Amino acid sequence: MKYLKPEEIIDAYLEGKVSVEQSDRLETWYLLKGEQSDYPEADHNYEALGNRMWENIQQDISDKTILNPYTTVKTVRLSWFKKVAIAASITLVSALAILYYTQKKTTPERFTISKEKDIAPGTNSAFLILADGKRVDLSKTNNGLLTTESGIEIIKKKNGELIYQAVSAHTKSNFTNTIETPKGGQYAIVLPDGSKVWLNAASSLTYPTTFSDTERRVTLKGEGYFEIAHVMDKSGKSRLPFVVATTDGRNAGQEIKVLGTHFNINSYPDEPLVRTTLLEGSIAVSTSAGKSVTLKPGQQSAFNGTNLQVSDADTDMAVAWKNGDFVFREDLNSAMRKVARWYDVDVIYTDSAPKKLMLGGWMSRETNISDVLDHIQATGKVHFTIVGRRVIVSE
Amino acid sequence: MDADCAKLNDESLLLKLRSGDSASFAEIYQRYWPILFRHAFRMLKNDNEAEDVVQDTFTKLWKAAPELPTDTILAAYLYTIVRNQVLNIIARSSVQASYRTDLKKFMVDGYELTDHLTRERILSKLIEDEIQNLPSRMREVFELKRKQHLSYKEIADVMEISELTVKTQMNKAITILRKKLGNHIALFFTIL
Repeated sequence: MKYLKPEEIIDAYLEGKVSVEQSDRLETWYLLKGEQSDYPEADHNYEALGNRMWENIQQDISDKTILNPYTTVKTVRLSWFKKVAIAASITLVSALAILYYTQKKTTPERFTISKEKDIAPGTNSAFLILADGKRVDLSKTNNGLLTTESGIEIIKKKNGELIYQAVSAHTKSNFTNTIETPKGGQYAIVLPDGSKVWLNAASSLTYPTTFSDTERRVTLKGEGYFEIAHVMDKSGKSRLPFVVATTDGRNAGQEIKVLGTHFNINSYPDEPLVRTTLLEGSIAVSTSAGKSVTLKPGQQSAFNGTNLQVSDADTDMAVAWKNGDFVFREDLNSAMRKVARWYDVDVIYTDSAPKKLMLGGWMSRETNISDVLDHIQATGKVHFTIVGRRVIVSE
Repeated sequence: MDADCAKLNDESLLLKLRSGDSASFAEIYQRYWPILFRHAFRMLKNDNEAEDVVQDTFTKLWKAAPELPTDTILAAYLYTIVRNQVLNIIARSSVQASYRTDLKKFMVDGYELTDHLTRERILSKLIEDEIQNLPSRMREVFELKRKQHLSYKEIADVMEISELTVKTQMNKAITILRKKLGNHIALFFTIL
């Protein structure tokens, strides 16, 4: 017999390196042991056990970002709003369902958030701040041509999109515009070079109405998804770089430099890390302290103000917002920060609120807040009360 | 959502899972974790190790799903991973040293048991019988679910043999085992 130690036999078996006879014997042995074994005395609380293991599985899956076998970048060119519409029409699909399911069996009455106190989801709303400081509420203006600045037309489309279009040989100018979304708002903008930026709630993007000859530079606060157009420089020989600077509450800044690519930046001041997630192309991320990394598609960099770390990304999760979804693969607090920004609510944690509750699931964010909270609440681990625009979290 | 998935048989669930559907993953977990846990616990007699087995099994399923061959039988696949996880723990854990001694002896003196397919079926039966041992409320739910979705008939259909053949082969295998083991095994495989 080749393998003498039982652990060697098992290992060889698991690696498929044993003879048919040995594998027959091992499998037979296993079956016999199975039937001979008595179930030991144990008083398992199945419900708690099932929930605990499920949480651990969710965590395992997201820790190792192995949820990503499915994460192929969708290149289907649906318009943003078509996507939102589709997302909204699909019934809420949620892995939380599992927890909900278990709970449903034992809890006859489900806690339901009162519909009277419900809060509607965010909308396509933003403010445009023009070079002269004029502030335009995009949700209140008519569709069509808003204004013309130095040979650039600014056009408001009906689907929550703002387009910059060069109409005449552009005069060099350093006009700067800013588009700013409130909490509960989102907007998309097509820059004069054809690059498109989706802005999540409570975010802003500052950009020149005409890019310079040496680089295309914008400044982001909050979260944005970028699809950068390839543009050649004046010489026509190399690509004109696109630079996104993020500034937030932190002292340390981050810059990313790209040539043409798709990526998401989350730089909210209430998030512990600035996360830059690359879907297509290649980008260089550098910090004001001089650190720099290059990301490959599917990778994410995380910047905490000092260190810049690269890991495999959960790209579905990073761009879920842009597709009109919530993807929660994180703890309750992190999920609630997303909820707070989108529904324009403040989240208040009581002493009894669960400290470490891992959530796993996705759902449309085009529904009222009660739908989202109901699903999280159905885990049975947390309770929400809506008071005005506050969500109180308790056990 | 979950209600829709609950109506699907294992085959359709697996199909959805392969395309990354997490609701179907949740439904599969619901459908299988208790019996997988009971089986692992019965084998290992250790809570932590049994929990690890179940968690790793589902993690592996999720990870492997996109690559699984289309003709994969979900139950058989899960049972095999659980068995391999249990074996892996037996090989390593200090708690399971007695198994290793026993296995060593068996590998030398042991006898063989029919063919691979039959063993696979016995393993399925072994694990599925855990339904009977679940707390009563949980069992009711399970039986309802499982009766809809997995039966001997279905196994037979999938394996392209008659239901009778499944039963006959199982009986044959069991008779062999009975002879070898005598009567000290009280409740052996009972064919439904």
